[in-house]
Amino acid sequence: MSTQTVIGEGHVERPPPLVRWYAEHRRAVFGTLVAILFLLFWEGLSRGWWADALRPLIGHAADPLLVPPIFISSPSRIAAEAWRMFVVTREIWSDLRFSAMEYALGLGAAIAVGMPLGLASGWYRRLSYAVGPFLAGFNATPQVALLPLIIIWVGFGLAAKILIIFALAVLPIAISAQSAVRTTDARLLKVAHSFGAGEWHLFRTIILPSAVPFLLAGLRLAVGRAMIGIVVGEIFGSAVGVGAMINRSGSRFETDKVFVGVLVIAAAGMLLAELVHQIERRVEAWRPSV
Amino acid sequence: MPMTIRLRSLKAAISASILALPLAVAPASPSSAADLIPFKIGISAPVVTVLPVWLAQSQGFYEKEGLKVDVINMEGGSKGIQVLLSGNIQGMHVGVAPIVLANKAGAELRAITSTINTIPFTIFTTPDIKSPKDLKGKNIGISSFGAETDIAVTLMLQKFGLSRSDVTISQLGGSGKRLAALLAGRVDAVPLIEPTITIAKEKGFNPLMDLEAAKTPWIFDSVVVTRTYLREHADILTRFVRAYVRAAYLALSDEKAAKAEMIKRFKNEDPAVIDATYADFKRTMPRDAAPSIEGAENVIAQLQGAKFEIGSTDPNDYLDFSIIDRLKKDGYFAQMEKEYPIK
Amino acid sequence: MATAEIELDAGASAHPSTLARFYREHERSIIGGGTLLAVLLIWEGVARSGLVDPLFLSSPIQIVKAGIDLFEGGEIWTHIQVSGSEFLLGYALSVAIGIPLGLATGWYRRLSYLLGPFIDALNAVPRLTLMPIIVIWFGIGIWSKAVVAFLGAVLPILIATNSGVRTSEARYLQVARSFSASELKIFTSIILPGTVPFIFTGLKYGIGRALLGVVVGELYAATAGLGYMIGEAGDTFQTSVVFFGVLIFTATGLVSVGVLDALERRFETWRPKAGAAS
Repeated sequence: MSTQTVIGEGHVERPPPLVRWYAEHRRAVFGTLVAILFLLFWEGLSRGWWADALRPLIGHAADPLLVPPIFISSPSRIAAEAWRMFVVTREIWSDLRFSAMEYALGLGAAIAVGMPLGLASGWYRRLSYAVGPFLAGFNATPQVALLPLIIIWVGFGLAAKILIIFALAVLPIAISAQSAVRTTDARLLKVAHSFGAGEWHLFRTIILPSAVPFLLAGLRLAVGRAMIGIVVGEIFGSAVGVGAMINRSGSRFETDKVFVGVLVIAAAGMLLAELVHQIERRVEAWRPSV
Repeated sequence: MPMTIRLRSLKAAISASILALPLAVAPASPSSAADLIPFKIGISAPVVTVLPVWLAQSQGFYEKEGLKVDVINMEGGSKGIQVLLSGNIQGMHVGVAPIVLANKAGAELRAITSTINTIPFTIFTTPDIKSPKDLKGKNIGISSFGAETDIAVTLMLQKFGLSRSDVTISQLGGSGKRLAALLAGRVDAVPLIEPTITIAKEKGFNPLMDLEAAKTPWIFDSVVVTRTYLREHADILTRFVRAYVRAAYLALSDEKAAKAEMIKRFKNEDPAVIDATYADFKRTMPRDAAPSIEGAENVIAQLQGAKFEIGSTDPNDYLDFSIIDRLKKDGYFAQMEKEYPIK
Repeated sequence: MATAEIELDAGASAHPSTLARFYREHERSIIGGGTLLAVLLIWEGVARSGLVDPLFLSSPIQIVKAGIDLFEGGEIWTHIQVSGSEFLLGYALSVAIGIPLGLATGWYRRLSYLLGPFIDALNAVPRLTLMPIIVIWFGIGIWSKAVVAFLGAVLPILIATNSGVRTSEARYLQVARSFSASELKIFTSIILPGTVPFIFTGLKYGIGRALLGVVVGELYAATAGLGYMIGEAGDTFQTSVVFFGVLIFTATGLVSVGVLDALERRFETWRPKAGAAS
């Protein structure tokens, strides 16, 4: 790298545009190329291209290179299935609507509980001592282990799914809110105090604005964690929902559909994380630098 | 399958090195077990239709055939088939319906025996559900999606003019687990098989629909293997089926032995339950332990009717009679009839 | 000595009693422990009052009893052994692959171009959703769960290691290069020590993900293991057993992270101070 730079400096004439374009987008070009190769390899496994190509050379030893779709499906099968589910039969939309609803309710509840709790325990030292052991214990627990309890408490219905999403999402939010308050610049607080600002006033004008980036970072984490809840909450069955669809398709050996569901959830997760990220950038730009 | 061969050798290599510790803790097996061929078979639930699998185990029939057989409860037929495809087990005791779905997706599974060629389910509901239309909005328990229970429930709903979206369907596992959930009030309706049918009746649940009375041709529980295994290990499978058929004949002829086994496996000593369950076995066990073509045809037809996507409609793409036929030709069934006269 | 006495004299009237001083020094544990105790007492009280069906609530004493029964019955050892093997296998595998791969992709830009798309894609996919396919590949035994645990833990470890290399690279490389150090020297003496805190962050995060994988895997498809035990107990309304099983997972998580914290502190003291400064 460094030697190349040195040589580059020595040359006066500019490289041709194509080379320059490549140098600027090397990462994207390389990434796309590798991704295409991978998809081709995958497709070939499923269609037996590689097995057919190698059979004249190594005979039956090539057979393992033909993998039935039940094991791996294939990019073309997944794309065709996605087209069918989204456009032709439109069967996935009702699942998406249901999952989106349980996700929104679960995440909403996590924000409604986690943020005030985190902010309060960041602000009141003794409260943080009191809830500390619970937060630590709950944080160390794989929250999904609570699923059997949740089912005992509220049954198989919508409430169970909302609760498991809540359980997964609430901690990142609460913990980031807590540390947000704690990291507020002490000097600022001191100055404000010396001007005789009240507690509530302090909280509103100094703590909250400086906490926003932390809160958003916590939210970004929670958005991903909560996605797990959609799938796990429906392990034991449900009439609708993307998780239920994945589960049902898996049990019926429809691997193509499983992949469609997995990709839908991945895409939704990325989209939401990106959304939070954009808000973070907006806030960053707008916030007066302190 | 081909892929799993590779995975398995990798797994074996790593597990041999890392799992040595926990294995060393396990009790040492007798030295005579060393030359027995290991064979693992999954069952979808502890119910009456797996009686021969169990009885052959506790009577030592497998060892006499040179096999060391492990019976693993999978709590659901389709999950068992997934595990069968992974190569964890060599056989799975399950119905033909999930095979049809799996083969559509590229698996190559075959049923080589049968312990019942009709649907034995009775669908039970809580006492407050008196007519089919009360099912709307209720929670119905099945073993796992794609399993026989799932298909039975789909058929029932269709018959009642309801659709799957009218109810919530929950995966609960085998018959015993479904009954437990019904007892606990976690679900409102479940399909059950003996011995849980009699227990559910005793507990006052409402038998909403008796599918067995309809004598619907089906292949409900059978030994299922991959075609590769069948091709490469026909000998091991023949030994397994010999022990299995012997156990079936013992159960048919020796009521006491069969009932003792059931009491042990079902952990239930209620004579009413055990009597009804044994009667059920005697009524439904095919004497040649063979899957019925008619049953397979009906499974295919019903799946098509219920809008499942299926591949081949030829029963021979799901059944394989080679092992049973060889035993018939060798006079094994005649020998069994002589050894275990059925009263 | 002298100063202490003087202070004592000075504050004689307002001097806090030993009890108060003890409280001040241990306020955190006292409030934390007190709250915990209070919650347990209220829980026990509510359970005993019959206001709530004990089937739903269990109670601290019932949970302890259930735990004792489980250990006396002996069956729980099988579950612990199975879940433990799954967790250790999956976690060990993710450490063995995540750290070297994270270092390599952080150090060699081209490798990161090559693997970046896969890492990003896999990171975006909630791996637990792959459960139905993992069962077809790996079955119902220990391996399917080890794989889920591995898939959960490997990415946090890999990504944390990777960003550790990049961060320390950016920080120190200019200096090291200006002294014309060799690549290997730069890597071992600057990059690696600077990366360790990042690796520990990844390792700690990975523990949670691996445990989550074990639980979900066992709830989905298993014949033994603590997650399986919890699922079974839930099906038969043995609420106390469920609670006890969840507590075992909590304890595992706390202990594992505690061990890593201790290791990290050890490393901090051993590490040359030059790297630690900033």
